[in-house]
Amino acid sequence: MMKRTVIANAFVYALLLMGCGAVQSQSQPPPLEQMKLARQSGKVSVPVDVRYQLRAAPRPDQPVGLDLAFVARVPGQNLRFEFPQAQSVTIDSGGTAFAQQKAEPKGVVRRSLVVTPRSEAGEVRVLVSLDVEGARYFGVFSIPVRPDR
Amino acid sequence: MGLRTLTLRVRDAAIIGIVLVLAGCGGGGGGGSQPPAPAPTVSLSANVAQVEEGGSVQLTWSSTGATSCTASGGWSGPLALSGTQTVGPLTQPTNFVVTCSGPGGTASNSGLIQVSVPTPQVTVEAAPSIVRGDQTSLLTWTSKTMTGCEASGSWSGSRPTSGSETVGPFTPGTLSQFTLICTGPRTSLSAGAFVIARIGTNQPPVADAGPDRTRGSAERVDLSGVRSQDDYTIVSGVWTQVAGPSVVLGPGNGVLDARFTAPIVAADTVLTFALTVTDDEGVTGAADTVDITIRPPPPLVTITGFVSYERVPHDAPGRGLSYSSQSFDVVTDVLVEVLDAATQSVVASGSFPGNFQFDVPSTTDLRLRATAFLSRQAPEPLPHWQISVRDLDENGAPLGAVYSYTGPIFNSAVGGAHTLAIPSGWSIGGQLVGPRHAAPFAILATIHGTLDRLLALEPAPDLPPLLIDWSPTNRGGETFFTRSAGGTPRIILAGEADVDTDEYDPAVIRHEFGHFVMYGVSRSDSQGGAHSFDERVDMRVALSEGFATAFGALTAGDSQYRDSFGPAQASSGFFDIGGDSLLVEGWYSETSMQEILWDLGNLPALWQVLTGPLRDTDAMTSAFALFTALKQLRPDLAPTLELLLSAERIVATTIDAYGTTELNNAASPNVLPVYTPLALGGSVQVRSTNEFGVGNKLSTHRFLRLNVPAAGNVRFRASAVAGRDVDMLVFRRGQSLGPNPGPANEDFSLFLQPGDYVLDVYDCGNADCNPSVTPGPVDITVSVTTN
Repeated sequence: MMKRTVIANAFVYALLLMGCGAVQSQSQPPPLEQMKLARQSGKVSVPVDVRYQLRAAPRPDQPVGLDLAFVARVPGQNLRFEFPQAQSVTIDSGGTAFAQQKAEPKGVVRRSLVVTPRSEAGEVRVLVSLDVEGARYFGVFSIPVRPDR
Repeated sequence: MGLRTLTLRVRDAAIIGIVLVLAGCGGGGGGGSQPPAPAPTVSLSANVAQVEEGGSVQLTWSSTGATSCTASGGWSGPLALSGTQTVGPLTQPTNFVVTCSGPGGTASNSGLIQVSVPTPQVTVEAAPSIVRGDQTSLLTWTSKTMTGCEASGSWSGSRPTSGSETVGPFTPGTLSQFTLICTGPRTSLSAGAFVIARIGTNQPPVADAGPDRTRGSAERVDLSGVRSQDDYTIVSGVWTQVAGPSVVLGPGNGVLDARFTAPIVAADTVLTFALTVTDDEGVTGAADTVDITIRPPPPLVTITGFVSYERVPHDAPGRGLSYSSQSFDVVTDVLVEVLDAATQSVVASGSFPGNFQFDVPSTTDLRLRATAFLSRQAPEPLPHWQISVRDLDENGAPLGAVYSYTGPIFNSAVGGAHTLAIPSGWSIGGQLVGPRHAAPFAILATIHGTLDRLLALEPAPDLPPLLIDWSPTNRGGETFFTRSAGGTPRIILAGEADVDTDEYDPAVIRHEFGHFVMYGVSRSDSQGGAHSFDERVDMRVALSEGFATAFGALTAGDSQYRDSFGPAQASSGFFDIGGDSLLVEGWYSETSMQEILWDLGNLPALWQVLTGPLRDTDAMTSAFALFTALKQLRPDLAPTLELLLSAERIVATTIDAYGTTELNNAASPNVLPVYTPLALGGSVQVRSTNEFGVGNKLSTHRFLRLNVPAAGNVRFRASAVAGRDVDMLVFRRGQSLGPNPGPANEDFSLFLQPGDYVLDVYDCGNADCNPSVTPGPVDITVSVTTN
């Protein structure tokens, strides 16, 4: 699974390097401290921070790179995330579901996406779940991808 | 052909395969261009799979592509290409084979016929069995597996194993018995027949169809011939309809009875039925008739029934919803209306704690409509509530009517039972196959159950109106309770399929209803916001969220919290507040709050505190205010409560509403004291921090306690370094008194009555109320002076 992730990321980076409109080329994922926190839903949520950074200012109907980082705040198992479909933003690559057997606070799971905003209220959402202390928690996170028109 | 296959390229593998197969089929065909003759086929079937010993079987066969067929096995010789033949007698299991040959080869088919041993049997019958005068009777007997029989009783001597014999005439008034004892290789059996010789001549039976009578439309009508008479015995009766609108006659309780359902008529209508009866000598008497007059239904009739909705239960923890286990559950007290199917006008309406009951026009096409609306309001005496489920916009404005479901058309006829079953819209395989009509009612059913538990605690609560915003377009994860100033409190529930739906998550609904109850009967100073079990949050948030989860669990008697999510709702979050999470413990942990409340397990005591001391506390609503009040109100619970508090690392024996003696500082210098004392004329510095996160996390807000000894103007000032946005709110028993905060430092005056006040001081960068201010530790100087 990890190999597949690496390959997927490499593919995204290669796609970005080849040039896709406004997408800015970048081969290294951004440092965590530079990434913003995705907004959590109001329900009791999962003990995972989801951070993000767009690689360029989003423009309508133009693909843009989106770097994500998933950081468990507590040790847990069965970290999963998936990307619900949305009309406001299409996910062009990197949007397949992911699962990892163990998650540690020091371990960062990264994922790179190429997304295309389709409306002013564009956002990418991530459904994240993690098993902790014999329980399972989940949360829905929102990442704004809002182009200036 | 072989050379041609070698010229194909590798990527044409499928074509190669076809060519090779065709080549392989040519064996024996001579290699010419004519196709080979098809192989013959043969089928064989029998009329039975098993026969009794000595019995025969009928075999049927057919063939294709054959020029000749032969029999072998249990039969032999040439056969036609198709046909039927009876073979027997069979004395043992026998295999029958048919073999047919033709230009394309030979084919055969076979079938095994089992042979069973017959059961020994002897029968004797007399016909007629009742005779009069010089009438004779014919005795007929049969047997199986017997070799000889001996007659006794009214006849005697050896008899063959089967036969017939005329006996009589008989002496009137006598009973003759004809017995036959037969013997075979395995056993002996006896059988017999009676002949009754009656005196005189037979009188035909007299039918009595009963008295004429009147019945209502759609009623069941019983026809009885029980009063029919005969000199000996009536053995059968036949009812037929001879006049009136046709009805279907069915069997009654006895052989002389029948019944039917009366048609619905517009005016009195007569139906006539005839009864004929037959005695035990086979004589049928003259018919008797009865008139049944059917009355039209009354103008108004009563319909009763119940409303049910299709509920989707949870599967095992983690496995989401179990659509294959969905079933219909009754929901009560919702608004039920009867509509005229032609005009859609409301004929009758009401809410019912059990089955509904309406008086409606008879013989009218109607429809039932249930609305997701629970209401009990003045002039009804307490308790009061008003809860509806509808689609609302983000400001709480309706996007449509309160959800309702209208059932199919039915005719009221003369009244009766009618149910309204509201479908979930989900197939048992979890596919969405229709509108999710049942969802609003599933939500109300959960709340109704919680209300019932609440009424056991407090028979007459006066709850404010509650709007529940649910829609299939309500985004996943966006489930929360909100009460905007001047607006109706709302619970927003997620409805987004394949992401997060909450209509079948009772624990989630009860949690949000717990927030509403706390708001409705008590007080919550929580600012809400995102939260997780592992986070150190503002003490007001910790209590609010922990209470809501515990309230839901206590009212349901179930410590398991489950929340379905994901594609096909096939996953679920779950946790058990009956366990002990060790990750974060303290007065700032919602997990600690819910675990203490569940372990205490005393909802009545909790209710007492909610509706009294917590509502009126001068402090903020927190673990300190709640548990201090609980100890004071119920000293009997204090020892248990202190143990629970200590186990969660919360000050126990010396607890007060302000957490004055609390020592758990979450390993941070920016947490204690919980309330910083501040006197009129004084000045203090507190630190707002993002150490535990922003928004509603621990120590983003800092609290100060102020006593005002006498009424007068008080000036409040709060300041920090330039570039920060400091806010300060002044609370009196949970009510904010101050002006709306400004964009930088705060400086305002209030006229205050004597009493205790709480100042809530925070930096907007940390409290997530000013995105242009970067979160970080901020020292805020607060001063309070009289002026």
